[in-house]
Amino acid sequence: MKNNFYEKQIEYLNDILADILKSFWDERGRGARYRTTLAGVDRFSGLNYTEQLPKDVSGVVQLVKSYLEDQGIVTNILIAQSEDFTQVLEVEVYGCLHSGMENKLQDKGLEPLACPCANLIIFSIEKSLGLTTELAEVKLGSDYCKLCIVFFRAKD
Amino acid sequence: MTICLYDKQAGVMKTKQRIDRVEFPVMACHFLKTIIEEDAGVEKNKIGAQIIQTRLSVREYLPDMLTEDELKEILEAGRRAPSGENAQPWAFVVVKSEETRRVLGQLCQRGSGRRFTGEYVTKKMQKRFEDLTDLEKRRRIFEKLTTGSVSAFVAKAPVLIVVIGLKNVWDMPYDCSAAIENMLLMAHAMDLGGCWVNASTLDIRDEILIKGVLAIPEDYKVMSIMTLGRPVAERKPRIRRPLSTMVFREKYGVKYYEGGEN
Repeated sequence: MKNNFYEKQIEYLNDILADILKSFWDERGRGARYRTTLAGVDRFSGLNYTEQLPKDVSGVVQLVKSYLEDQGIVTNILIAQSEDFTQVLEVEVYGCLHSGMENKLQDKGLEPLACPCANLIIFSIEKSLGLTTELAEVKLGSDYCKLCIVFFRAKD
Repeated sequence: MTICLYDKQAGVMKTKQRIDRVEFPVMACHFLKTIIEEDAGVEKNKIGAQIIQTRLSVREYLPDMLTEDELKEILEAGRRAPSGENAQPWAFVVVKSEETRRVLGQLCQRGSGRRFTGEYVTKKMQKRFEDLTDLEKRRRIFEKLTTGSVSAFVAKAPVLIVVIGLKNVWDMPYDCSAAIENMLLMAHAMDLGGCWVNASTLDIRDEILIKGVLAIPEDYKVMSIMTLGRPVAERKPRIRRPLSTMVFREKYGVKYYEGGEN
């Protein structure tokens, strides 16, 4: 009973979030995605995780994974590549609490407009390593999301 | 009595007007005033259309600074823009300092480069330019976009106007956009060049950094950066789609104009 009620709450919140993001899309179009790049960061920072940031990409992803798992937001995060992170970081996120929101947007024909999990990874990499990062793409799988994060390095 | 107006320059008789002799002084003055006003109106239309049709985004500038009078005229044009309920929610931060321009230029380069790198890695850029068959030109464009150098010119513009708007105003983005366009047109009318830049204001992460650099209060949003200066060279504006593709009669889908540009 409790689980059912909890699941209903999550579903309700994801529906509302999807509605709000859709409104944002209707107002701002493609630009909407760039206004949600800090969603989730305040909470993460407030819990002092940013004081422990490792100085490598893998370590940062592991720390964000710990936070998201501890908070019950995801069940797992995997780095989906074994090579270096010169330009691209691909991450798979399993069991995300926000998947309902993303699926509802997809049903409306929209690409994901906000990914708090990606936001935390990007924020942490920028803060710890000083790399300029961008969430290039979110692909929705049946039970996971694949995030494509890129690093921009300005040429002198 | 008949009054005739002869346009000496054009070599044509413009108009004739019969006027009663008694009313001559008053009518003549009124007639001449009307002619002068009509001529001025036609001239005003032509000048206005020419400014709008020849305006283009200028990204390369001579190092010369704008005069204070020039700057004030441009800002005045912004001030005169329309706004919902005449709220005038805009404010303009004039930036001339080399160091601040360098920082804002870097933010613009980073903002553009980051976004376009993402577009390139996910192959969306390649799809966008798939009709461009000149491979060398395509390579140059891709490099300009993914390195962010498309927006790096901001650091070299003599003057930047950072346009900010009060958030607690209903129509603020539209109001500020009207102000920006007024200023761009005014600059162009003065043979100066300007460019409307959103590279560092699109992503909220960059906007927060700009607010820090320029000490902008929380109740304002940074809308855009405008670059201003004297153009290095004369160029033509980019092609526009014809009106027939964008104007509809009574409802969407029923074209107002057929065929090519009207």
